[in-house]
Amino acid sequence: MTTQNSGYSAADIKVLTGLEAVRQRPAMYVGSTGPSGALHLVYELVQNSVDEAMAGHCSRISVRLDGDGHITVSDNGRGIPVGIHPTEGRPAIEVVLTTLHAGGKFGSPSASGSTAYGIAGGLHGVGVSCVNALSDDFTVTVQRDGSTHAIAFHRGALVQPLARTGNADQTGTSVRFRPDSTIFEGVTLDVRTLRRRLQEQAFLHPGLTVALTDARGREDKLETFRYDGGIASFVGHLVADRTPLHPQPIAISGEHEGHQLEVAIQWTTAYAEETLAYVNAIFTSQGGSHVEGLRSALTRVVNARARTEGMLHDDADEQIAGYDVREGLVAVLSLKMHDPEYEGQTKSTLTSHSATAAVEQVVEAALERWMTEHPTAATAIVGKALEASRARAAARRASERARYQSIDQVVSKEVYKQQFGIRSKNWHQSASWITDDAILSTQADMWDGPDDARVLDVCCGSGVVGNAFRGTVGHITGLDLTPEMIAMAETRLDVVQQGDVYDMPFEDNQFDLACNREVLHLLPRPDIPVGQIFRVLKPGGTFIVSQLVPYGPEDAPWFFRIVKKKQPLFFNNLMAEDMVKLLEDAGFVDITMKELICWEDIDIWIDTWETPNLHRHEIRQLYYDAPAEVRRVHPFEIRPDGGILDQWRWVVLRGRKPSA
Amino acid sequence: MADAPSHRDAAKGRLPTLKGTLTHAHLRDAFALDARAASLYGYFARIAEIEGYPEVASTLRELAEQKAMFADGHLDFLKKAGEPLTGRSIGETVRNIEAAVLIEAQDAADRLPAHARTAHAEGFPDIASWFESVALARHHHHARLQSAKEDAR
Repeated sequence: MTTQNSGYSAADIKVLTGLEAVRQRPAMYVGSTGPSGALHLVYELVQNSVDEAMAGHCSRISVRLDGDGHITVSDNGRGIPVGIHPTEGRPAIEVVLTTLHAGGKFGSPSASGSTAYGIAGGLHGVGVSCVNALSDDFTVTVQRDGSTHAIAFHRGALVQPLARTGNADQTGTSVRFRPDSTIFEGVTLDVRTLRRRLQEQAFLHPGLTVALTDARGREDKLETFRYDGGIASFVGHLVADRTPLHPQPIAISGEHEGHQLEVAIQWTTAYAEETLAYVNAIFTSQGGSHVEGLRSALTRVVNARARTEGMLHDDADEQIAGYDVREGLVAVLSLKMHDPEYEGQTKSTLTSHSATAAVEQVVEAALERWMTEHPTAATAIVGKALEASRARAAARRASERARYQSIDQVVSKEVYKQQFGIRSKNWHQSASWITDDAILSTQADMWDGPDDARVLDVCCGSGVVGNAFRGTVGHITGLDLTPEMIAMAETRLDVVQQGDVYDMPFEDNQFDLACNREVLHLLPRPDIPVGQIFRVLKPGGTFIVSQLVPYGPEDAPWFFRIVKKKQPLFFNNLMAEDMVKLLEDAGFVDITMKELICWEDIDIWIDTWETPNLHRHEIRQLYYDAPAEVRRVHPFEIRPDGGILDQWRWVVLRGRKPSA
Repeated sequence: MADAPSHRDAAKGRLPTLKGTLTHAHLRDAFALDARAASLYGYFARIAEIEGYPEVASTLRELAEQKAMFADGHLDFLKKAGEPLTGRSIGETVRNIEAAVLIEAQDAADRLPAHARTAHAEGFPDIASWFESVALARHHHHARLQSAKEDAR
């Protein structure tokens, strides 16, 4: 064994120089040495198996996670060739596993028509040799030509030369490896993301079975994905928790100058857009030229349809913008093409120009035909885009009207009714922070008054804030402006009155407790309602109010821009200190303040009608491009799929009206 | 080029001073224009990207980059005569930081709070709040620059 090893070492030197580079700069090859880098290793192997499936030689891929950190990726493909490589003089498999840029996908398909792969997504990063270099244990078992063979490495160095280990009655490749803990220090695999990625591959390749076994716990958990409906069922899966505008996804497939395209689209009543795009089965998280093609086709078809159906105001030269067309859209696009070009190493953006024209032409023709065949659905889709477009204009007008009227402190109730009416109802029922236990219970905990107290929930919305005091108080009155909210609040509160916070429909000295959450920033003059609350509270009464606030001067302007883009009626970027001052100025005493933080997926927060699609994109961009000063004080996370989790800072204040 | 003498000065055998000349004013104008355009085109580019015009976006970004470089070029000449916001001469880090401290102090202390008051009076509470938010950050910047000044000494 020892002598054999030394016999190999001479040949290994050349190979190791290639892999040593990978070990020296792992992030350059797999993106990072954190969780996403470790995942990348698994994807790299899965992608190789997927390429076998795309070439028509593999029907099952399995991934297994073991408690000792080993990961096994197996397929029933053809198996990596084990014969001696004609020019290298070593087994082909050894060349593949130890050489950067070696593999069956480098030949030109047009030259001889005899490469092992037609279209392949692989070469993701730099191939399987990269995974080998970054693993402290890497064993490959190949079943091929009736035999089983095995070969093993340690950090890219051969420790067990290729050997026949037995017979085989099938074919396939199985790679068992463990990410090198000296490189991926303390990294645990993000199983949720891996699971989603594997499920995605099953959606993208009808007939392919993808299995995930999590054997890290006391019992093995096996999940198997197989979707013969392809990407239409993918869209169906994504739409599952939304309300579709038309019952079935629109499935489009076609070919244009060597581009094979499959698209499935479905519009929903939601506001956010979700478009997932793949090129040769690789997820392009930042879209690119293929997505541009899809977008311009959708914009053009929807506008053309709106015009021929006479739905646009011709005299005003009305047009529906692309981001309004995409409101509530769920789309999956899978493009297969030769030699795709990407921006950067991670393949997040496709730059091939040819893809734009191909996608545009195929989608435009097919969608037009579909709309002619489904006139009712087409009208619903176009109507929704038009509504989005007009709502955006209305929201802008609403904030402008509120602004001008505030000069003489007359604030139009209509403006607020428009904003917080029926369209915000759904959102009010779904946004998780609204019912966030931590905030509600913090508010409730600050109450130390008698249990027969009379409570006023100011701008009660759905009534959850007032309801949080249930059991510790006697009677809860709600106050809100819109009939929709009043109807919702009536299910929770004892009585709900319609009225205005600038001039509350109550006598002086009526309540023991007034509560309010997240309203003061929406009013041009927050001091007026705080004064009104002071007036209607009994002497000795308590006011509890919570507000979302920036962390400090560093993120205040950034936070302002985000909230203003989300909510056109945002008037005051209240800081924690401003809240204290508001209460003090109204006459409240014994003011105490608690701070709490809450992680929130911003999609929930911005998926509302008051936030136009353009603003939603701008908000995401503000997170992506957040200045270093902001990042230092304001925690948030950008997930690999582009989703954003923000850590919100809430303050909850309590003040007391002085006793008479 | 900056040191090219005018006919009159050449006759007297000395270089002209930039400060107070029309050319000085023109450099300040050009700086203001290009610095603004750089910022504006960057803003336009982000929107073009979102609206689905990647080509337009990259054109705008390239122009913005160029404009920022132009602005730097104007500053190259303005160093001695004074940078455009405070009129102080700049160049080495110690002087630059001193100018920056002044700029931040000016905005945070007078201009922005005054702007906020005007916005309130004219019925733009959201714009007033925006000015106040920026003023807060400016205060913070002022403090950071003060400590940078210590470091640069």
